[in-house]
Amino acid sequence: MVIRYALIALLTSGMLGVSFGEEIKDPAEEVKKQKKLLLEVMGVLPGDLIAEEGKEYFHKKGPNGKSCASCHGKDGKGEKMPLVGAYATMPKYYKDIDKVADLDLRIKSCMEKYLGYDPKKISGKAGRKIIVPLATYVASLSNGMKFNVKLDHPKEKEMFEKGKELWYARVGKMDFSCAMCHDKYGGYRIRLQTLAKPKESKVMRYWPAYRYSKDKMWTMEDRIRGCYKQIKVTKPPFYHWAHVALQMYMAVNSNGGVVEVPGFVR
Amino acid sequence: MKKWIISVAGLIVGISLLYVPDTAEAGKKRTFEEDIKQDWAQKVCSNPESKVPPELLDKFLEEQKKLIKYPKSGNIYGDWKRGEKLFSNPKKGNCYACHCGDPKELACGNLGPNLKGYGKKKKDPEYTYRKIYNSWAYVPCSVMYRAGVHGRLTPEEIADIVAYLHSPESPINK
Ligand code: HEC
Ligand code: HEC
Ligand code: HEC
Repeated sequence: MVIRYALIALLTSGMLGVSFGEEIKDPAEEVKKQKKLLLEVMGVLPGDLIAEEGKEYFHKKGPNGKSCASCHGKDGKGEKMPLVGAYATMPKYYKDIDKVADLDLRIKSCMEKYLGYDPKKISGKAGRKIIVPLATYVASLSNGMKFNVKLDHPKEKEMFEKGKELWYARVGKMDFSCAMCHDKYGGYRIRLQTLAKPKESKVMRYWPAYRYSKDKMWTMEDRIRGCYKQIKVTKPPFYHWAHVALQMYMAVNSNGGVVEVPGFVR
Repeated sequence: MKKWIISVAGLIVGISLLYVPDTAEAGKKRTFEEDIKQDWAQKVCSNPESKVPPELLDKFLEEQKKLIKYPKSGNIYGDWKRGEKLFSNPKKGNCYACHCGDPKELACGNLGPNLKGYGKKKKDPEYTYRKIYNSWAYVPCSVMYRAGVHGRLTPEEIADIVAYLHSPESPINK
């Protein structure tokens, strides 16, 4: 609790700094500064705490008495179906669910299919409370490894094509596309917000990420929903194919990038 | 000073605050699938170069021009003070997202040209009106959204913004 207050005070003062500074600050420098400040005050980064929380869930029994570790091994290092390195190859086609899945959908599927969770109970916010930390933890098991997503299965190719289509699609009342903000005008400012270049930065390698401006851990599904909201397009529900498609497109563009999760972003 | 603080408070929250959901449309629940349906022009623009293929260009410009409508009064030069509010309101024009203009407004984007002194450039107000109503009738596939076409701004509201950009009284031209 005390930590939380300190954090909020810190974030607020940091942000006031941004707004009153007449000069436009270098966004990369600002992120570094915030990270350093948080480390100084808390001694640990919030994202690492959330990964720890995910690790606890990973070893905790679900409704049917099994845990993730029952199948994937302690710390995800089982002889069968280890999860070390798994994130660096996702999204991917899975035979057991006959779907291409991203991290969020894969974890939710395992919870329903193999841990006995009631799908209705975890489809909403309650589910996100477990799935986000689990995703953070599972992704961190690929730290130091290179992103290497392949398009071997026809459904993977199809997902990639759909993702590419969505990336370039001009939609909604603002006539925007992901590409307009993140390719063509990447590096420009919308108001004071510098637009990221997710393809260039091999973005999948540092997501899920802790957003210090919101004091929240986000998976890429949260990020995609946030971007659609900005352009006044109704957000795709969590676990929707659009998330998988867009991540497939971004993941292929992230190939070669070294995984470093949890990320730390504005 | 007070106004400055308020505008500053807004930008702390950044872009999420700039795009507040439409209240006018609340009530009816829209879906993602409905919202990503494209009109013909949006489809044509959905390519990595964000360009209209040369063979479609004439048709594209003609169709976009046809979409432009005028205020019933016929007056395209409204009230600059109202225009000032519409220009900066994130729920209406949201023009500062991409344009700087009034030098007092520091929270302005740089996707579009700086509009400071726009009125001194001797542009035809009718061009300004048409450009804001349908930006794609002049620059196909521009990142500047088609405010009139999508009903984000009414013809009368666009006329007010035209006055804001052209009037010698307006802070844009001071
Ligand atoms: C009863 C066994 C079982 C349990 C329990 C289980 N899973 Fe799975 N998991 C599977 C199977 C089967 C697959 C699909 C493997 C494949 O096709 O490569 C899988 C795949 C995965 C993958 C993708 C692995 C890869 O190599 O791409 C992740 C991530 C994952 N599970 C996470 C979890 C998490 C987190 C939990 C706990 C909430 C969990 N699983 C619980 C059986 C299980
Ligand atoms: C109106 C401009 C705009 C559009 C359109 C847009 N985004 Fe974003 N996006 C942003 C902004 C602004 C940020 C950075 C947020 C921040 O720094 O707080 C961002 C951040 C991101 C990031 C994280 C980048 C990083 O380095 O951490 C990803 C990934 C992303 N967007 C994907 C998408 C996708 C996919 C789409 C299309 C569905 C999309 N965006 C559409 C404005 C946009
Ligand atoms: C998403 C970014 C964006 C937004 C929002 C935006 N514009 Fe633009 N605007 C541009 C860009 C880029 C150009 C230059 C390319 C073009 O003409 O389309 C431009 C051009 C213009 C021009 C033509 C300038 C000239 O010298 O001919 C005017 C006038 C203009 N904008 C006014 C507005 C007004 C008024 C608003 C708010 C209703 C607005 N813009 C909102 C990006 C934007």
